[in-house]
Amino acid sequence: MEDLNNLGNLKINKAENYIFFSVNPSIFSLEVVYSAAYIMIDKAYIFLDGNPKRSIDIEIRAKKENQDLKRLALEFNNELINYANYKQQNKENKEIREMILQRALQTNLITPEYTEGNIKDPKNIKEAWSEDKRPKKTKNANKRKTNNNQA
Amino acid sequence: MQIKEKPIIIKLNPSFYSKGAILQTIKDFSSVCSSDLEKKSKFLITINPKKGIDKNELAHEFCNYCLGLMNQ
Repeated sequence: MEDLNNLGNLKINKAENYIFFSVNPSIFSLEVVYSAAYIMIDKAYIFLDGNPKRSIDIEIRAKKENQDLKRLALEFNNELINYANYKQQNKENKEIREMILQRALQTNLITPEYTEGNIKDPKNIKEAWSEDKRPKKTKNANKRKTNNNQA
Repeated sequence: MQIKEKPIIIKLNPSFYSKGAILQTIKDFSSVCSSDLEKKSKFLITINPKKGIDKNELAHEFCNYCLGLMNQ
């Protein structure tokens, strides 16, 4: 196994075409590892083992021949940092987010004056229209119509 | 994680892979293989691929799929 970095936690096995490394769960939680792994499962085969309280062991195997294993491992590390940061930001912004959401929901509350029984409708707009309700034609209306046609 | 061939036996650590996710994966892969689950210190999944299915690829995809379910 060949070391890939100075920290010594990234090891590459070229003969069997896989990379193995360990992650400290106090730095990257299991939730973060799952999120990072989820992004990578399209590109490589990911396996988890070890102890989620002491050390999370990760094995990355290439899906295709001639795939750059080093790049995959380094990408995985970047995704770990990405999701760890996201989780941290999420935690810090939680209260502000909840406050904004509460404020937005409160402005949509219906006040009593606009409930069904209290709306005034002097022109009877609410009632559906039908043929029975068509206004009857008067004699004057017919005369006006014929005069307009002649003109 | 260990994969042994003839038939394929996958060993998964229960600290990282839940029984629910494994059972769901077995169900979703039923069209390409038949599977059986046993638990000792690790989950032992015995997979019998159907004709024409690459064993190694199937085993790896099975594990990936199961891992993907853990994120949901």
